[in-house]
Amino acid sequence: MLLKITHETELSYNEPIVESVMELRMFPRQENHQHRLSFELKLSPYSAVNSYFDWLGNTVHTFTVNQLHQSIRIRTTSVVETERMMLVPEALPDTWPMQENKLDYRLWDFLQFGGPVVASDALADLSRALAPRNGIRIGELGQRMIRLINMRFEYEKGVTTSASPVTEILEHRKGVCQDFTHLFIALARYLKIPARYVSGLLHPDDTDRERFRGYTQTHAWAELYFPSTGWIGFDPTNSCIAGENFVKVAVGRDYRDVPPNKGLYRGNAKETIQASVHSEVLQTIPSDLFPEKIAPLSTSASQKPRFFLRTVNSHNQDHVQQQQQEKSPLVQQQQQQQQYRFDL
Amino acid sequence: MFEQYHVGNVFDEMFIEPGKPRRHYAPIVQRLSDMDIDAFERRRRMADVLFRNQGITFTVYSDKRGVEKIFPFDLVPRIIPADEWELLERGLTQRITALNLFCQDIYHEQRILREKIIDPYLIYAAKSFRREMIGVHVPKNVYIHICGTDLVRGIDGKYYVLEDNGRTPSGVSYVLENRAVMKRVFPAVFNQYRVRAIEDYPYNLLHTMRYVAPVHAIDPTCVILTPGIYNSAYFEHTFLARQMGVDLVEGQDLVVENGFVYMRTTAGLRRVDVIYRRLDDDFLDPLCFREDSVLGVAGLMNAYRVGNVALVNAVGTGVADDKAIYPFVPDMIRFYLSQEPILENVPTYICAREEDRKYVLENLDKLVVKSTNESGGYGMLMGHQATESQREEFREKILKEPRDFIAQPVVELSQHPSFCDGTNVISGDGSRCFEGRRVDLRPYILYGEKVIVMPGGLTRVALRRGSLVVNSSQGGGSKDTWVLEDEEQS
Repeated sequence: MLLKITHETELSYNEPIVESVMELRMFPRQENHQHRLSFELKLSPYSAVNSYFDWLGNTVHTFTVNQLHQSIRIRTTSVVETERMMLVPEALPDTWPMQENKLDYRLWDFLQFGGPVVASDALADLSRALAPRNGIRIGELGQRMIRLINMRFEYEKGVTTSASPVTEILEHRKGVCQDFTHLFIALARYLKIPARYVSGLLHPDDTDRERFRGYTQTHAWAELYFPSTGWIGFDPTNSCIAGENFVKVAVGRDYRDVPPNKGLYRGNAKETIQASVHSEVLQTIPSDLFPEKIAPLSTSASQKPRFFLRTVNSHNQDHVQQQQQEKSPLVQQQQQQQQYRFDL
Repeated sequence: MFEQYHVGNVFDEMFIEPGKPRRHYAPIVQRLSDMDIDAFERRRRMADVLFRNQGITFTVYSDKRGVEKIFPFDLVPRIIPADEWELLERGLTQRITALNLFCQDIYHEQRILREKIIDPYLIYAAKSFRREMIGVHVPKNVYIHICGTDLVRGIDGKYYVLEDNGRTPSGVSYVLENRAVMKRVFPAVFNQYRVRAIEDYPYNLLHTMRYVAPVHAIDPTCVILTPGIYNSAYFEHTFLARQMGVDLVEGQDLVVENGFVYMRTTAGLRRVDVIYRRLDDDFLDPLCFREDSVLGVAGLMNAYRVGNVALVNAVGTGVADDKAIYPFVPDMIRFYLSQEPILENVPTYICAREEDRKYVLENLDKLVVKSTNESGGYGMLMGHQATESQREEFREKILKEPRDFIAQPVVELSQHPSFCDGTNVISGDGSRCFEGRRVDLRPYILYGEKVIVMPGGLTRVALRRGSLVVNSSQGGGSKDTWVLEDEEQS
């Protein structure tokens, strides 16, 4: 599937701010079943952009805007070709329980609870419902996990926040794709199967609009590690294996490793985030492809976002002086996090 | 003055037996014996005044009064003969070389893990292992530019390495100030010896910093990044900045633009090439590490990654001085250098290992248990001095988080005569006299174009009688340390 994806983000502030430092994880990954043909990053106000590979192999673009500004707009346009995964996870020979001592030691990170993926007694109940027996195939177990999560948990916005740990979805039995994914990861790690978080984009399947909730989204799903094959994506929100309409952007231990944008600024202003994603299927490979192009975003050419995924008002945080005594006065500086959450 | 001196059954630095000093101590014993106790006391007070006037202080965080204390100074110098020092110098050079190769390996190929010399779990579970540094090239492949290695002497008089401080070792300013005061208080004694100079340390440090500057910096701008005036070592930060003639900056004085770090000056922004940061990794960059840090510089790691600024020490060196990794340093030396370690470690039990843990739990009353995440003498259990309930508390902690603890047999540190003002002494008449107090030694090693071991270092004294804890935060003091030029001239 040849996809063109446009991702727009606008951060606006109610007062001018200075010294924004931003990190973007918006560069689609180059993978076995996914080829990135073109990537264009446009910025306003324009600033020099550097990029690096993080330790998980994600490409991160960074920039700073030091002069006074009241908004930052980011538009990325990617052309990605994805292939249908021809293998069937249930047919792979890998069985449960996994022999931990035979796994690459670097998978240790993907077996640990941490951050939002917290260990909880409720996981034991859930895993009993899976009825894993020795020798069951990992693929089959993964399918049971997504079915179970889909059966017991409901998709509902507004119940959880981007910082919600797994315990919240376990309690309310409601959440969005991020919570479903964290829960899936927690369950896999409880069963000692390496699992990681994937942030990406989901193109609605034309034949099945109902199922994928109609429009293009930033999305999150999980991957399980199969010693015979590698990582295979499972989408607990849509109850399916990640297929050719899934575009992988970043992977990590959990959400904290992969936010599409993350930043800090100086000032007391309140931040509002608007983001939108649009994708279309191309019939032919376009002639204007850029391996990696960075350019200023001209104000006139910008179009209004087609729809808003979500608006988040971040709150002022009180900072505690670290490494210093409690008596010390607070430095007059506000640093706030810029982030939005996955919506599906 | 030393008539009543009690040598005891530990290694004494000064005396072989009562009344018989070691050869290199003979002149000073002679000199002190000629002096009456009031004259000595006068000089001691003079030294105190000198320290206080210079503002050479430190802060104890746990002390609720929040006072700045002067670091208690003990006038009798510790003297190390040339041949002993030669051994230490070789051993420390070998050690810092291996530790640097280890850091380079851990953040790149991880050969030492693949070849199963170290259990990967110990590294991956270490809080000090910075995944953000994986694959990051650091200038000249130097991670630990400045290392403060703690050495102790056992009953046999042999030197052992107690721990390496490869993050931001402090205390070097006290070494330099102690020497300056010593020269003023005891000029005659000092001149009787040929003591190796340590005053070139700031010069060497600056040279080490300039060595790792990015290639594009013809005349690199170096700065010291301090957490601020409330930090316990703030005096040292100002001292080193003044000695080296570089700027002392706080996080808010720096700004990142287009992958470079700039300092705000009265003449506008000025590019910074090398930062000697006296700030823990956690607080360095709120974007990369702790979001709530207001001490650091947002985006600093991005400039560091692309090589536009050098950090001294590098980020992530904590993995090399982690107490659970420490037992493997001799293995590192064999693995990376194909040499036998010159300096030995203190035997260490790793609670994360099952058989070790079993032994530790059975012998809690004989061991010293240390938390791998704490320093400065906090989070420690001295098994033989602890109460049953304290031991029980540690037993639970170890069972809960075995990775966080190691245990070592009690090292009977060597003792050195210290002047005691009459309280807390063995001879019951309450008079001022000299008594043996336990000491350790922290030499400072610089790793730049070449390895430079500062001849001397910080000798810390446990001023409480019988105490084995020398940390300044736990009531320790310090001494001047004299390394002699060579045997004949001493």
